[in-house]
Amino acid sequence: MRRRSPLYGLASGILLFTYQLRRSPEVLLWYLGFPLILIALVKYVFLTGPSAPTVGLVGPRSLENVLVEAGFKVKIYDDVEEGILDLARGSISALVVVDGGEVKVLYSYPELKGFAWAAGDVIEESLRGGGKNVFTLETIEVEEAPGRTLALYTINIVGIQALYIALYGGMVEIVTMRRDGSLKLVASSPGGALTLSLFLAGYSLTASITSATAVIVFSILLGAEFSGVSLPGALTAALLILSGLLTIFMAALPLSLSIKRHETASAIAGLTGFLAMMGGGLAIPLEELPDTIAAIAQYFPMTVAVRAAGEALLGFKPPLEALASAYPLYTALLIASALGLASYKRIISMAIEE
Amino acid sequence: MEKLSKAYPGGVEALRDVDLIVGDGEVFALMGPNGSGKTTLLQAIAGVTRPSEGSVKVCGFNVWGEGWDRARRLIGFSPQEPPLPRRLTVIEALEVLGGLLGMPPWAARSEGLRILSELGLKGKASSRIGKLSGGEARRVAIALALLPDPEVVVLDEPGSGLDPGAKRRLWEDALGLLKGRTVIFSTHDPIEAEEAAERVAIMHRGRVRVLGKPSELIERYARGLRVRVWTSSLPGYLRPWRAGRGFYEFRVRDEGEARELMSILFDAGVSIERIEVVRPGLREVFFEVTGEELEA
Repeated sequence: MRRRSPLYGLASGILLFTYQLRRSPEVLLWYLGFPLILIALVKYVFLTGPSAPTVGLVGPRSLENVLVEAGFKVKIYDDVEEGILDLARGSISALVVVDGGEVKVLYSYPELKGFAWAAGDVIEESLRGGGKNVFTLETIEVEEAPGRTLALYTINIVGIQALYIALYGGMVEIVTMRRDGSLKLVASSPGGALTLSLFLAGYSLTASITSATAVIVFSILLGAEFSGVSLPGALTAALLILSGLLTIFMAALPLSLSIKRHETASAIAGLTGFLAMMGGGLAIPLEELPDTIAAIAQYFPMTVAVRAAGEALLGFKPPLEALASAYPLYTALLIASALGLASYKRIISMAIEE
Repeated sequence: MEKLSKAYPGGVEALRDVDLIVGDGEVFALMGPNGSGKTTLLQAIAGVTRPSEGSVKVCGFNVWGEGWDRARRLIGFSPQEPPLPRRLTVIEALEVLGGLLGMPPWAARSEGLRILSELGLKGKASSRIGKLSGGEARRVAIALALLPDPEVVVLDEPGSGLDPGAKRRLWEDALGLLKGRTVIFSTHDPIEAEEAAERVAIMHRGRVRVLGKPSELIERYARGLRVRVWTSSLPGYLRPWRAGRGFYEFRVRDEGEARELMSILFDAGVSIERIEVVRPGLREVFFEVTGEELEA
């Protein structure tokens, strides 16, 4: 009789993913091929030119109407930094900052200089009733902006992968193991529930780390700009993405209780992932979504995690501030964990009752 | 096992008051048709399916009560359809499943290679599970049960899907590895039970109907010989013991009585397609005990 420990479940999960990566084309496609295709799409399809012609405005609200009447789409900011962040992300094309009598117009892509000029002109005319243009036109990190935007999208894609990994680990893997009998074997082994949870953690973490590394390396090769990333920032970003992954994983566990077939679980996970990706501000920026959807999506755990991770990683916010800004994520994590742990207990007991 | 019962939701009673004691180092067979409760009983022993009532003890430790974790450390279980990932190689699958059973994967690898070698599968360690033949896959399933070096090995239909020759070879190859361990296996093949087991429990509708050494059971319940005569009809004065599908069966004490029966049949002018003299085995014991044919 050999000594056994549930901790080896972790090693088993890591090994399974490593072997599947070598042996199973589907695993290779979903964990490496799919995110790399997304990165390439972002680079060559979505980031080929200036982004949506929206003007950001920091200043009196009355100027919003002036810009709208002149045919601009407007987004209001309370804080200049927040506007600059969106400018760097490519969510807006120019940022008009009106401070007292001074008007400053910021833009990122060189192609948008004319657009920025036009926006500044409208404001200037409204404030001074025509005459000579006295506003200042500035560019922010013109050279780095596209690379920075790609870097931000890279974090979104890491988040999308984490979302799918969590949905598959918490739902499809459990249903598959129940169907093929391995859940029964594990549930009845001396380590039982702990072995299984460590196995799933090992599998999901390895999948997530492998996929994230591949995505980041590939995006750097395509020109993503990650310069100035600090270790605390990177660790904070990793912690936030993992918190998002854990939240979705825990929330998926109750669903696995009522699903009988592997195919059904796969379909639900695929569909849920797609809806969350498209409607959660991960594939399409929140700013581009309809207002009602964007209002809900900003509280979606993975969306919160990805935004805060991006801010921490690229230095838009100090790590602690980025962590603090993700408070809706922690609330969701607490609720999902309570539901998930109760369901997990039920999953284990069902395995040996059936 | 004491007063072991299992009722599934919906009222299906898979086990009813099963009492069994299996000795240390014994090779014990549960024989019965599909649905007789063999798998449920094995799963209750292995700690995989919770019984509704009763208890199972392994080396004094209760599988379903206090000391369950110690009891389960003593058991190695191979289900009827082991969860072997088809795309992985044999040794990779054993490493992963070993880890899931709480073993260090590196120990699972070295032990797996040793077991595979003894089971005649050393050359197949790097083959994908999906490419294995039925016999090879059954051997891998046995390797899985033996991986944690258990005191008690529980095998659910280890010879399932194999022809008689392949089953015999499987048991011959596994014998060295199983020596010194208590082995409890299920089968619906009376020949496999007779050849491999020291004692057999015949199960029918969730109950153990008879229990004993194969030779003793045959001697007690199916003495003598059976003469099977394939013919369309028999004269009225000849009373067979039973009628099967296309044949009539007679019970005789010995070869002399069998010859006597044959001459009576020839004298009566019975048109015989085929005649067979059968030495009774556990199949006949099953029929005697339950009144039903054992479907192979």
